[in-house]
Amino acid sequence: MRSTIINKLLEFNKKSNDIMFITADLGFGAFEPVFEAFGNRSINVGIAEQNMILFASGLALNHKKVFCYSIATFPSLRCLEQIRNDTCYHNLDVNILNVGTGVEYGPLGITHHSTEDVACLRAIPNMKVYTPSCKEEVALVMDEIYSCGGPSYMRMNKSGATFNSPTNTTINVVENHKSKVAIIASGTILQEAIDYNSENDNKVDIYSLVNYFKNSDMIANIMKQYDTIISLEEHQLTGGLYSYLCEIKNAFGIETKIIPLAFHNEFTCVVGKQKELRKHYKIDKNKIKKVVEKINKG
Amino acid sequence: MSNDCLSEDELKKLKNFAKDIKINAVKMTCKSGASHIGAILSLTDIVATLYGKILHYDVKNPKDENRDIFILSKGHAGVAQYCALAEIGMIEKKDLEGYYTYGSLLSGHVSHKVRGVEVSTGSLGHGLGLAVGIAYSFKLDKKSNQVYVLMGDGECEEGSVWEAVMLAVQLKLDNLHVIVDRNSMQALGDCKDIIDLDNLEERFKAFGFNVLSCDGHNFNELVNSLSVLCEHKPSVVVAHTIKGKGVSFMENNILWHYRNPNQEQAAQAIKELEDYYA
Repeated sequence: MRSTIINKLLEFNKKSNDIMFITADLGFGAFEPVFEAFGNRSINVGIAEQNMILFASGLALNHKKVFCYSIATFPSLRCLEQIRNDTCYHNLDVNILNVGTGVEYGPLGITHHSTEDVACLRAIPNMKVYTPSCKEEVALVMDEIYSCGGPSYMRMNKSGATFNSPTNTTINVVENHKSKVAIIASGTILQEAIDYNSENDNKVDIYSLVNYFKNSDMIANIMKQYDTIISLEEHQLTGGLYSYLCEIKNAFGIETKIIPLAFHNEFTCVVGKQKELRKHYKIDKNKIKKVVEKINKG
Repeated sequence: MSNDCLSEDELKKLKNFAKDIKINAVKMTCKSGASHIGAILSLTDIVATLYGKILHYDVKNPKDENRDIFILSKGHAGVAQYCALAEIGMIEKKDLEGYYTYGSLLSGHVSHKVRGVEVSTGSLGHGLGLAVGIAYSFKLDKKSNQVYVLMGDGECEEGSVWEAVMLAVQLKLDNLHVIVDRNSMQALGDCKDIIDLDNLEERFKAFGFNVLSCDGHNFNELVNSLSVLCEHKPSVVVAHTIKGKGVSFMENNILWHYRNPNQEQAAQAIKELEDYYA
């Protein structure tokens, strides 16, 4: 996913002289081609995320299209007020690219676990939150950001899930088995659902939800088709995917039951890799299997 | 600092400008019950100097691409900016009457919804970082617009201020002008008793700024200081001021950080301000 945003930045750079790339001292061994291509339109502001967002907002006030890069909670919670007051209230073309979300940096500990970012950011007016699950969706989102502008926040991991041909930036069909149960996943944790299907006979339909701010009718129409939806996210229960789907369920009067698989508003302090933490906190393919079995038993 | 850059007529105009801002501010805070009259009276002479002598702007076109940028980072003193904008004709004077009331665009902390205001502020420590971004964008575009940001001294306790200071120096932003309203007081008392900002000039100098110091109520000194350009370095003017300046019972009195004047106090304040600027 990270290589996709780098390639897209290089592509945009050929189209416009008003594209800026800002980092808060992260991206070693990856963004050097961007620095080289962008020249003085790429700035490392140092270890200063509040200032990264302020600086980016100032640039955008003077009509620059700005992409900010960082990881974990640094470009979201560390600078939340700057994102709210400066970027979003002034409705500026500042676009935050966060690679390293959820518990991707598992063994580093909870300071590097981004598990509340969707809740915080989607609550801010004007902010467009995207959670692509694969590099193809990242490419679609980058194109949308380029043409439509910010403020935006894209939540990613270095490597994405694997599925073919997503078509849009709202919700994509990953697998269709005409089941009565579906999984709607947000982000790369989608891979757990794909792995569940590949290892089990009771296959379920799978969707990848890409954004949290538009085309809710499209999501509602999908939800209506099922008796039960399992929401799957690498995020706290409050304010993320489960909350979003519940909001849509209520807004559209949908009777479909929603079962959440998320962190239960607790610090993910167990030490382990991303896959291990998904298993420990029961948001993985094994938990999906148990939930589906329980649903099928009635 | 030389004391003779302004003609008598120019000095008189600036004094009247500042007086009108302050008298309107007293009336507005009295009527609305809004706070921060002490801070407003502290920085009004700076704001009047900026709008009266330093900034390039077009009242017919507030988004004129050749304008200078002014950011009031201590947004709680926004009344001073609103009144200045009314005095120069950027907004209607009658707009001031709605300040702080239901349906008005004029919120207590300065709002970019108001014609001529570049950015909304209110949470301290934001203005300078924004100004650094704007100043750098002008450099990229090879434009000569200047960027001015007015902060409080207490505001300098925010860490984000120093993040922005370091980047401004790194980027050699000589089109960036910081003014610190150095009234030595903050919400709960004297700065020295809370976070001692002694030698503020030296602190900015140590970070690589071009540093000037002046009497923030002396228009000649303000104009001289704000006219300085230092190649490859951002500048800061530490303007030494008095909170509540021009009203005897408000000067250096922390009560007037939050308190608003009643009718009787407002009348007394206006009388004193008429005398002070006479």
